[in-house]
Amino acid sequence: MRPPIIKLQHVSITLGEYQALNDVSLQIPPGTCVGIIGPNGSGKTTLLRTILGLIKPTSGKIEVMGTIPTRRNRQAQQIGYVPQIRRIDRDFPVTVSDVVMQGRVGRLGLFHRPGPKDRGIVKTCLEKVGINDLAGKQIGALSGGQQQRAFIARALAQESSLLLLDEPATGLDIPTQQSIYELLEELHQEGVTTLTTTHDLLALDFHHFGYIACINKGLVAFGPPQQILTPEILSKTFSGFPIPLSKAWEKTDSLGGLQ
Amino acid sequence: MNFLLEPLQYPFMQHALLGTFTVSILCAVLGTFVVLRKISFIGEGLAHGSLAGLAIGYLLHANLYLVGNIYTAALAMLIGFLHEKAKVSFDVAIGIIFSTSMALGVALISRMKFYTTDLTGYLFGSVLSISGSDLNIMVLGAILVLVLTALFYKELVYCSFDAEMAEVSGVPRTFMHYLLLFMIAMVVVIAAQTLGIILVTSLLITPAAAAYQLTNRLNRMILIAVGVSLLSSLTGLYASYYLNIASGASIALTASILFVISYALSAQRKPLRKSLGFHQ
Repeated sequence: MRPPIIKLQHVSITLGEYQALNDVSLQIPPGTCVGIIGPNGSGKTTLLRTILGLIKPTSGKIEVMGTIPTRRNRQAQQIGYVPQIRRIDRDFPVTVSDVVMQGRVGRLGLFHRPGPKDRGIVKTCLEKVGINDLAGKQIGALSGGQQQRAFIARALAQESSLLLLDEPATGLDIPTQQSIYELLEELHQEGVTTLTTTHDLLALDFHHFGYIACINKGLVAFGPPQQILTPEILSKTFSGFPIPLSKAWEKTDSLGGLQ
Repeated sequence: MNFLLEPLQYPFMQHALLGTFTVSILCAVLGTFVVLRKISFIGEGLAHGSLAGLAIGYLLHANLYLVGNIYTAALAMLIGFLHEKAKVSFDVAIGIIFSTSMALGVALISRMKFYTTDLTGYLFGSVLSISGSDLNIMVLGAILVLVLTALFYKELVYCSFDAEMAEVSGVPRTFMHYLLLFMIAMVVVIAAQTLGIILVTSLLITPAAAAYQLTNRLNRMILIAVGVSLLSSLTGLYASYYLNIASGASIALTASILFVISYALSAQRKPLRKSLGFHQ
């Protein structure tokens, strides 16, 4: 078995006096498609930011692609990241392809200007997320869903083998959500490891994650969906809130049955 | 034609013209980043804060530019440091540092026994008293800032648009932040001679803001800002010569008029922007 691409050993994170994550141990094999589920404020984003090296664990050890994520290693690692949808400066004078080209900045390094190869990659990434017709538009003129696709394209332009997506589908309409999950499937076929957070269990209807991590201030459970998607685990993840039965389980049950 | 050429027969006007051109280009380029990052208070703060540096330079009988530049660059770093380490927002950090430094400057100047023409020149701008050695330092400073901007252009833009993502992809975000602050400090001191420290913000903000009305492409914005800035300086300089008004004031007022014109020109695009929910 190949060594894990992400390895957390007893990682705890305290932000000020707030315990964000407690004793998380987790090994993610390369090429897997991981769903991270948990309620709002459960520490999903903190987990992603720790993997990126933006937050240092208060205790415990973390290894990403064989090294400790630090500022120094960041340029070599080139982890793709799509942060949660947030307000951007809509008047900022950059086009969609400028934004996607930003994904190349880290790889190019200082003092190197983007060349034809980078422009080619930008074009391919725009096509992958289906917004190549918007390449010349100012980023602020796009709708929320289109902007999200542009930011995903920017992360893809990093040509990373590891992509972290923080609530990529939240706030988007159903067809857009569906196309984002189709893209995840495509990336999975290409061998890219993806970690996708969601608080919305409907996401499980759209996409079959290889592994699911349930987070609530700590790791509640981690494993293949057929083991994880039980009413007990989900109820524990969502702080005892009774989770209504969804199509998702029937689907995963049947998949589980097939396997 | 004679109207335009007549002032240029005097060496002081030639220096003035070259100095103002240098300042215009610098202010426009850096001003674009200042406007996009919404940190326009930085120009005002550093300019006012530089007063202490100039007073120290005066007391040491050193070149005011050199001392002023070093002092103001240190001030800029201090603002960046305070913002990063203490729980204060960027504008609060500027406010604390600049008022402290300005107080120091006022204290030093009030101890001086004679009337200091050089320093009042810095307060209100006296483009007509730029010496040859002043000009040399201005041009050297300008080349340094423009080369640094060109070298780090893609990183500066990325950090201005989305600092966190720039950091994630390995761009040295903190270094870029301090680099920008350092360059703004250089520009502020260089521009102070022409505009006076009271009006430095004018050329730093207004041409870039005018260009912002007219385009939504960054490289075009910089070019238009440079154009607006040069036009303001040139018109302001001649107005200053013929109408005998302080050069800083005439340049600032021209820039403001050009801003109003570009706003009027951009008004046609407004309905579309409103419908997209801008400015809400």
